[in-house]
Amino acid sequence: MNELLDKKSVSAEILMVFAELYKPPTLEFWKEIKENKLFEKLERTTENLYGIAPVSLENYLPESLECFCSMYMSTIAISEKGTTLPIESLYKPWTQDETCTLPFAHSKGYLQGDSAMHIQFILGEFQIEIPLEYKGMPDHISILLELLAYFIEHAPNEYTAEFIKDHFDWLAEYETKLKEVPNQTFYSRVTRFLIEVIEAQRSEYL
Amino acid sequence: MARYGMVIDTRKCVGCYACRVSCQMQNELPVEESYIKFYEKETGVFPNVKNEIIPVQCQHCEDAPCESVCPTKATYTTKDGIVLVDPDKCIGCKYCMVACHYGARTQDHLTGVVEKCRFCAELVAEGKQPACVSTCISSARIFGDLDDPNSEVSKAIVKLNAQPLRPDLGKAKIYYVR
Amino acid sequence: MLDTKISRRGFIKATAATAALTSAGTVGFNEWSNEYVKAGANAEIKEIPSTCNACSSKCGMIGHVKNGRLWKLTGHPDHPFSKGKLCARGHGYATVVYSKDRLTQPLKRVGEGKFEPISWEQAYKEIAEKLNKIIKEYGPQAVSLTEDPRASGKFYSPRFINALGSANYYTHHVVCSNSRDAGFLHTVGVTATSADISNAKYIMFIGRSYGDGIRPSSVQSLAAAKDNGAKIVIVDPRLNNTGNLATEWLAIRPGTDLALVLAMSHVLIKENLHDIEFIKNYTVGFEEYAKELSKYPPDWAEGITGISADVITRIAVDMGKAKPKALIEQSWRGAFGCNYENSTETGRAVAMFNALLGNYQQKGGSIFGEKPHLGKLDKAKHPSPSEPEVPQAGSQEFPLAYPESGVATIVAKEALEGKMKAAIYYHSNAALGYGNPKVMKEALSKMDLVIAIDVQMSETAQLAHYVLPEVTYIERDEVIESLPGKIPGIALRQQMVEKVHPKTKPIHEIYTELAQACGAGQYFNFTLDQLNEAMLAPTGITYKQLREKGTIMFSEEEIVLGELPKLKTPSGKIEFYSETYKAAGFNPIVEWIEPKVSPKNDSFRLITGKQAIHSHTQTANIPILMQITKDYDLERIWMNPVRAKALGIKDGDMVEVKSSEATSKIRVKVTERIHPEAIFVPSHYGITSKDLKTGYGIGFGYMEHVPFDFEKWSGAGNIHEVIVKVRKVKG
Repeated sequence: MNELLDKKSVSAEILMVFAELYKPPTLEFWKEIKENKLFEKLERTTENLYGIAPVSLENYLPESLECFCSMYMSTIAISEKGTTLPIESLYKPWTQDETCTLPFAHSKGYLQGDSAMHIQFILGEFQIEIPLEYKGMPDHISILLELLAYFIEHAPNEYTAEFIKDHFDWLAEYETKLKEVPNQTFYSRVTRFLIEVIEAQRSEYL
Repeated sequence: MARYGMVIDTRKCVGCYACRVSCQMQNELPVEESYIKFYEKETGVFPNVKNEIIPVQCQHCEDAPCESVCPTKATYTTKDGIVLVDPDKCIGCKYCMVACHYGARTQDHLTGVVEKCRFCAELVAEGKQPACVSTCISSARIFGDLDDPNSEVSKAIVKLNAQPLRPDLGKAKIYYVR
Repeated sequence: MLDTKISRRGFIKATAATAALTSAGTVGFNEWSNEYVKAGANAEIKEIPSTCNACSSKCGMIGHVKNGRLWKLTGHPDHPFSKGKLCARGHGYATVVYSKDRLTQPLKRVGEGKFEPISWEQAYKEIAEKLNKIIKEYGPQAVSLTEDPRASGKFYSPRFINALGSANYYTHHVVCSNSRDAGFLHTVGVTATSADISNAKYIMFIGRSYGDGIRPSSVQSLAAAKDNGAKIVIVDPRLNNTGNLATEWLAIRPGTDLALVLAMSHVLIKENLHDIEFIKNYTVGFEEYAKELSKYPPDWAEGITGISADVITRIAVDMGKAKPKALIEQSWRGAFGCNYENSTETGRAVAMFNALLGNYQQKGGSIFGEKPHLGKLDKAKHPSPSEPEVPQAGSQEFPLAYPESGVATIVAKEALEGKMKAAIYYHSNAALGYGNPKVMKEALSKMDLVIAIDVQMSETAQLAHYVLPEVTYIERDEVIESLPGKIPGIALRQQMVEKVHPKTKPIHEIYTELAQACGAGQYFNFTLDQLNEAMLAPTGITYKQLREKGTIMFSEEEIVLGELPKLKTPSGKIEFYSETYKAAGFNPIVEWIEPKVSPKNDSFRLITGKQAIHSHTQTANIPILMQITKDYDLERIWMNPVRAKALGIKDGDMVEVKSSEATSKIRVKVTERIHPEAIFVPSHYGITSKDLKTGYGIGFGYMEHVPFDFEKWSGAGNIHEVIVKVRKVKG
């Protein structure tokens, strides 16, 4: 029983680190990577837990925090224009509502799609607050991963399984888009790594 | 029972594409797919030139060739004369696309179903106008019951001497004023 | 365990109740979305009347909102421009709300094309410091503000720049209708009349095309006029899309419309078809004007315009016989808004031709619209900024230009001269659209402070030091818009959905807060609602009623036709002879003016115009609209077959277009619909901002070829004074 609980909290920890990876890099995070061997620990844990071969993430990381920040800005930042945003709504048809007659009703690439509405619903149901700048995009990968981490520790298994099924099926498409972004391999590696972790997590709940 | 049809007065059409966009929205089409196509017919020599814009969509033919070639009877005509496709029966064989004289059919890239203008059957059932008609900014389109001599569409056909686009290719239910 | 503090710092904040709630679980996506869609049938759909923003017409529309999201748009039945309909752009442009290409927070430029997000507080603080420093060093005349006005901007923008002590407020009209506005203003006292199209018997359009620059109700009234048997003549070097509704096309040589109007005026007087009674009662200077007109008989105009003297005579005579239900439509940009060196004079000649027909304030003629009578803020409580001491930059060089629009490109000129130090651009892509983009870029780069306020990263925003993100028109309330016309009315833009990006702000908040930071907050000590309440006070309508209806027309204030109001010209009458012109050093009588440049046998004049699916470059990033361009190759240039043959060019060929300013590659549409001396290029393409992914790389921007210039009378951009050579290239 304890072992099972431990495994759950380790899984949650792993997902929290991934959630951090899609946020603006901070000095604290950089220090954790450089001084506290965060990536090494992460990769060792995922290998032990899920049998995922280490991917040496650190090799793809720029040499300085400044470069890391600017790579973040030009690749996935929500404040920058033309970036490849890790937001679920963008990779799914906007709505299933057949009576919606907006010109983009069933197109991909628009914010606040049905998936965002569902996350908003969940946040409301569970009384969870998210930061202001993510309110218009509650299905951002960092929010999704933190929610998943929380559910793994606190929610019934069936529910967590359903959450994974519902909100993590777009990552492969996101990875494809990331691969088209020049001058970075870090985020496509992180995303590939995440896909494997999610896949492993999914099979835990089968 | 009605026999629905339409008049398109090309003398009033300014080629604004509002019908195309409104049709795409009503029928939830991706931006690349459209049930209405536009042909420009330029006649004369500068400066004595005429330009005609002809919007073309499914003409809802009587004895529609697309219906007769359909191997699964997916294409059918409703009792109100509207030619429709049953997406559950369509196998995407494209015979209908070949048979259609007007190039009015288009295949959905995702489902493979071959679709076309449906005279907005659901709207019409509610007593409303098809989307292309209600949006038309110059009122170049008139829709109604061809069997009712007092309908606006029937009166317009007589008054404006509207003719099918290609009378030689069978009986269509869209009449053009040119 | 992972042993890292990272895993303990999260974005999401659970409450005390969360754990208990979570342990019970909740519905999954499928169940939720089934419920959501099913519930959708019963969900309360809020209908919020507002106004469109896909073009400057701002038609009334109704937003249908379901579960907090926009769900459907329909035309507002009471609004005089939409009359229940929306055009393709109206539907398509709404996409911008949920677009991923929007600006989401304030940005500061930190290097060539590099921006860094900053807080509003920091943005206000730094901008205010820099503005105040510039004002202290160079005076308030070194700062400027330019916009493509919408209702809130019209009120707040001039007030803001005046609050800083500067009179330098400008609008986009320098590349829209500055010429026409000046010509009309000094002849009939207003920058534009409207036209009673549906009752007219003879309508002439010069360059204006209802079928390309769409306002749904205008197309309907023209179709009605046609049904009533009206004669409809299009004067245009190209057979535009209104051609289908027209009875005749005059394929005029571009830049010579003035000669046509002068000759038709000549014929009216010669044939005694002018309205002598009207001229006696309502005009000044007819004798001098008539004397000047004697120089311009139809056979003179034939040589200039390429239209036969017989045709000119016939049309003038027929219009004279149909008067007062005959008119030349007032146009916007058309052929004389900002196009040629003679455009202001063309505008003046058009206003005068309508006066000869005596059609002002007549059924089927030209109409001076009535404005709704709206209230103002109480000045005792809410003081207005005082009149700036230094006059608006450009007003001395161009005294005839309409002061409320100004000459926006003077900002660039003075920046290059080192005089203008700061520019604010609100809802305006001046860098791409107002003048030659190379010159505009250089000018903007020379200034100490450039601020762009927009919803997207426009070409202008890319050159700005600070970019402030506005909410879209779907997410904001605005100042009440006044709708002058035969029946005056008002319309309100209202917020339909919550802000998608919480750090964006509506323009009235931005101006108010920035003014506070600049130390001019006392001029903005009111809320938008207070302002709107004050405006409504004299109407007897409550704010609540206006919010419910969106558009309200005052039918009891319908103007009485047949009575000409006292005009706002110095004489109070229509001025065939203008003292204002004389005082400004111009000929007080209209006369023939040559265009600035003319093509030779081996070259063309580059002309431009609109297509129905786009609003200049504003809609270039909208997929459902740009797909139409792609499906029908609408970005191509038009060339006459005779010229094409001589150059060995076939329909669809790739060519190079070369002017004094730029070289572009583009495909050709070979068509009989264009004058042999002209190349037509639609004005919607040539997006160079890579952030606008749908629009980027399609077609070329005609402004790249337009030399940076000012028309002598109104300061307009002379956007058709461009000569190009074309040759076939491999493509």
